[in-house]
Amino acid sequence: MIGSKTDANMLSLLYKPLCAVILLLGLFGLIWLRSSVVAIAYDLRNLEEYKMGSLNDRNILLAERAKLMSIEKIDASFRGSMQENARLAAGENMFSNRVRVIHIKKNRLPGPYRASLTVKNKE
Amino acid sequence: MNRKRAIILNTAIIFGFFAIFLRLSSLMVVDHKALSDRAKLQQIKAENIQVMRGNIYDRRGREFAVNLELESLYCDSREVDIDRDKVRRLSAVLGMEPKAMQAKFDPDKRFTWIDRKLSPQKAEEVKTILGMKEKSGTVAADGFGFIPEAKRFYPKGMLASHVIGAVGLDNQALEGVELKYNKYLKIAGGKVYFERDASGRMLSPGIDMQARGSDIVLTIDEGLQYIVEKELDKAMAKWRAVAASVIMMDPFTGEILALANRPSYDLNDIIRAGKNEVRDRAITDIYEPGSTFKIVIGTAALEEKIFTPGSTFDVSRGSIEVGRKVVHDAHRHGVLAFREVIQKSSNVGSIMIGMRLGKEKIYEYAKRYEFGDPTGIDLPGEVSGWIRKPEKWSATSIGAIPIGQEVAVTPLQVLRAYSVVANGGYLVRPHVVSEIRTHGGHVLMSFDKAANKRVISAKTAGIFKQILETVVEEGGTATEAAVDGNKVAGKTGTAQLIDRVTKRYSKSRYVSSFVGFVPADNPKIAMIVVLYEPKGAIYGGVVAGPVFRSVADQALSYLNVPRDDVSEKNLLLVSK
Repeated sequence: MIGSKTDANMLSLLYKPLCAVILLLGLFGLIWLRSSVVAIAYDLRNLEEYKMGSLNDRNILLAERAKLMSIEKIDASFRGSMQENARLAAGENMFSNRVRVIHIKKNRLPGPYRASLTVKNKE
Repeated sequence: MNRKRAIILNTAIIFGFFAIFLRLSSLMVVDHKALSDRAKLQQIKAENIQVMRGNIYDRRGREFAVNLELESLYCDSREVDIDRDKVRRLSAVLGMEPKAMQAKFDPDKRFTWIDRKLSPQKAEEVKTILGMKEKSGTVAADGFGFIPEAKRFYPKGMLASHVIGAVGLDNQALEGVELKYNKYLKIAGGKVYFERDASGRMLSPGIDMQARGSDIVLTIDEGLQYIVEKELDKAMAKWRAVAASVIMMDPFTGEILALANRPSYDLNDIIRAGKNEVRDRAITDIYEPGSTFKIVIGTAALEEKIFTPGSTFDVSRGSIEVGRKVVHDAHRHGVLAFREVIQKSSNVGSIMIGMRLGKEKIYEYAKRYEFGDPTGIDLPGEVSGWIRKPEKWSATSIGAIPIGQEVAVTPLQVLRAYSVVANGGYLVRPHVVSEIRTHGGHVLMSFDKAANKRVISAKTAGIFKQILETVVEEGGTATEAAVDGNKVAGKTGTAQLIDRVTKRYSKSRYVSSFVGFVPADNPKIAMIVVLYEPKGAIYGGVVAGPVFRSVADQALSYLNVPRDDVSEKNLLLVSK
């Protein structure tokens, strides 16, 4: 009985400073959390600015790609890069010559791929 | 003594605290609103959300209109401090006269644009000249500053300019799809409020700072559009025409695959474009169609079973008198079958057919094809054309309307009429937009495939198609429109323009056209070519026919449409 009384007194002595310490820690924790939130908001803003900059760069690059990939440019490049003889053979445009087009037909029956070209009604 | 001192000290402390209390009360209660507002002004900054228009794509997802964020240079004239050398260098970079630049520094104005939407390179050069330094997210020096602005950019330049349209300097819609679909492309902006500290650093608002309108997917195909425009330029140069239009359409769905006019303009430089260049002649200009209008009397006569393809007409006189007007054929013929009247485009034969049909039937069939009404294409500025009601026809009208005079049509209306023959008898609704979708790819709207109206029976359409095929064969008026490997069905048109002085049909000013579809048996494209006032030749078959052939040949190749004569020509077939 005597021992337990002493323990209770000891604890009651510790409660008050413990509460004060917890209160102080809580207060500092709150301030620390608040400052961290603000710091993160600053970081986020920096990242957002970086993202906006990157998006703008991306838009410029996409526009540049679209311009370069236009059929007009491809046609001009085709004409520029071709030798005179090849150009004459291909005709006036970069699209396939319809007299030389090979049409691909798919057999309905399952079977192995045929390795050679077939000339129909060869005389 | 000590007690006295203590009282004085206590009183001083009490007064001190009271003074502090009073001051705090004044700041926190009396001046609260004013101080709070001042603090907000210092701590909170408002910025506009960057608003961008939706992109425009072709049917295969290739960009026709996109957005760039560029910087615009402004000045606060009261704070501008710049020497003559800098003004000279700045003017040189911006392509302005130094005097014009100096005039912008009007001390009465606090805000003046110097130049807007500068290219990134120009903006860098300007910053170097003005000695500007990036400072906490904003650029400002000597009364100058930059503001980011969204700029519309058209990567394909002049291509499809009359379909896409353009926007002004403030991104306001001016023409084409940009104008017609403005409510979907644009989006409302707004402001975002940032908290910032004493050094000007800003905190994240936690929301997206960019907003973009809905994207639009066109029915136009960049490849086909390029083919059309390339050939149109060649034709304009060859025939020194005043203007020209070509429309290519899917005859079954009404999807416009390509639409081009000349003269044209660069979408990225609309400021320099005149009214003549901007006009979309394919839908806003009316003309007398001439022989292409013979589709009305031809199909009406077959549908009403008044004539068969074998019915004969004696046109050997080469002319016919209607009212007090004498109409001639371009070439003398003998006795022609019905099909030959169309094939050789005999005016005399066509008038005979028209007279037999009667004005009521001609008008009824013209209205079935909806001549005189807009087609409803989703582009701004379409006109309806006109055809008078039978009760208002003059004595000569029955000799004029069957051959495409005294009526006014747009090229698109004529193309739609020939699509009826191509697709087996249905009138389609032409359109240029297939889909509207969000930036994320969610489809908001797609073209509503309305039930097409039947105009003529499938049988009549089939017979008339066969007749149109003969037009490009030997003996027809458009042998130069024939495409190697695929059957073409079509009709030529050569119409006189009215002389502005004499108010009569001009003998030198014509509109030459060819309208048709290919492959005739299973049409993939229907197309009309119209050249206004060509020099050197006038006939539709000579002027417009070859343009049709060149475009169709390349277009069929581009679309991988096989030739009709694969077997005949012993072409190689690869099978697997």
